[in-house]
Amino acid sequence: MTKTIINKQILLLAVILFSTVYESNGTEEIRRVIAGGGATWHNIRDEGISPSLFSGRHNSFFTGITKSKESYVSHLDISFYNGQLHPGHYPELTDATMKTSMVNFNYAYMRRVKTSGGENISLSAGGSINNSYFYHRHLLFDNSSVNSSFYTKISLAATGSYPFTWEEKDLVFNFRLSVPVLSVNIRPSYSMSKPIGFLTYPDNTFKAVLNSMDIATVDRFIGLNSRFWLDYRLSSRYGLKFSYEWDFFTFNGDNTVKSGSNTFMIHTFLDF
Amino acid sequence: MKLIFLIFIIPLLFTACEKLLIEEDPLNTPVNNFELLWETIDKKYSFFTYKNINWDSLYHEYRPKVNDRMTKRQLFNLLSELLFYLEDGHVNLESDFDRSGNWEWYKNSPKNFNYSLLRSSYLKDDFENIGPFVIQEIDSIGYIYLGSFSDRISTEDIDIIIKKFYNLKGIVFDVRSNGGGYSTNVAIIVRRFADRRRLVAHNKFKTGPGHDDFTDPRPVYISPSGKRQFLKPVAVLSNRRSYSAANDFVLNMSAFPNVTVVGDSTGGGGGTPVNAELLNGWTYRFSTTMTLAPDEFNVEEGIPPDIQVNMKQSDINSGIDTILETALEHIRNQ
Repeated sequence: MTKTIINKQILLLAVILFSTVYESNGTEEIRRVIAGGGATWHNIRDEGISPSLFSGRHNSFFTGITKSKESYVSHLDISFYNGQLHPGHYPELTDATMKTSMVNFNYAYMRRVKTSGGENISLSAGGSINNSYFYHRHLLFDNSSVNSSFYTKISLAATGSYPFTWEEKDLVFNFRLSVPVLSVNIRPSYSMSKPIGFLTYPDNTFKAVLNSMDIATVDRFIGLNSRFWLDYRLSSRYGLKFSYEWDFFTFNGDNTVKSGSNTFMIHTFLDF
Repeated sequence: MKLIFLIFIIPLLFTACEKLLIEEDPLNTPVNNFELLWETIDKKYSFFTYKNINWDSLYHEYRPKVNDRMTKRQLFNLLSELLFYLEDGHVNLESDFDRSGNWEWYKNSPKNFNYSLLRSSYLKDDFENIGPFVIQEIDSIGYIYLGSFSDRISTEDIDIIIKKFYNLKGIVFDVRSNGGGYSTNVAIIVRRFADRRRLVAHNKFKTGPGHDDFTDPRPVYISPSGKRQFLKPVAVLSNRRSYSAANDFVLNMSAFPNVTVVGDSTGGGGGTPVNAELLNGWTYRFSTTMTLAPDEFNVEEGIPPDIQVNMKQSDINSGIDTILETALEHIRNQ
């Protein structure tokens, strides 16, 4: 039953990715390298670790590359987060801290589906694959202080771009909304007796990874990601990008996880 | 334009919904903390069936005693009392003012270890410290004492010891009153005594909230490692205070045919403990796995020795460690 649902989701994603109608067949290809940094405000409740909601700030670093033609945009990026989260109930305990690090690897492929001539607005649709690695170290714990989780999300995505001029400056306002339809999750075992489920198998790590893998669709993994960014071109090749991203997901596995984050970043970009 | 405006504004509305999507914490009250501790233990503790503990009846006994007017100390004492019924050295409650535990598993047993006697009669003044190990040669038999598995044990340390004792008749490995530590240290040592890859234990992990929701027993194997292995007679000394990782050590060593366990039963502690926390910041830990011997004997309450012997008071008075002497004699007779 689950396999059938997964097959349908993959088929749906493939159809959207490869059969979207697009209007232009332009051949000029633009490549853009982006790098930047900022801050993320994160809230997470992982019932495997604590009943409390942990909140705090991460420093974040981002780099990526975008390739675009008139007909499509593909985007690859990696971002790193590092910081500390504190429980809301007893922040007076200085040791009540969870040190956290995250790595996000993201690929998106979008086909342009509509360009409004009058307002010069373009809309794209497609999909994205996101791999996230979470590392938590709870300073009040000893035996199970370290936990790791891996989440891979396959999402449907829509993007809009709106170029405009303000104070004689060329700006492009963009947004993207992504909704995961399928996720592959590797989490600590039910009792959290090992940091990652697959460490319970000392002899065959690969087999253990497969055993710890939990594939979920929207019935158990609900997520939403929205990004806004403003491109401010400083010259024909260089520019600045100001972005805001909101990411939310909840995963009902052995232990429920709910996570929400708000990220603000400033980047530079180079077209070539 | 209105449509575009809507497209841009809708994701912002989602952002504003985060507080609805991630609920607030439950209130930090004695009642909520009691409920949280009882429920977490109920779903994740691993020895209810094995120890025949009726956790539901304990709930009905203790829940009426909890109210939101209790002081911190009263709540701490009540929760400690509740946890005491688990009879598990891996169960503790820790606050900023106290730490509870149940140490009944060794209190009524003979101590069976006297470091002062060991030092004066056997280690004397020319013993060596190699890493956390204390070693001495006693009548052409190597003696190793390890008081804890909590310190880092390097492969270099154990290789030096094996090399040093390699030509002796046998080794006595003493883990009496060793309260445990990192179980990863255990395999580092045991591999130097392994003749070939052998099944040394099974682990069962909780998989769900039911008291009997476990994985099938997952085998644990240990293979030889290092430049050389010591395959001559080995005696492992244990007492009731040999607990947790020391219990694992005795279990793993006894899988090899040249090893004899001498002394008293170990203290047990076969469940891997994990930490959890309450809404007030107190932490607690409890066992969430089971360790079984290769024949699936549950080692939670201890491992019986091959040669049961207690220290005699008359021997102690004469500066003799009865258990160590029994082990030395056993090796000499091999």
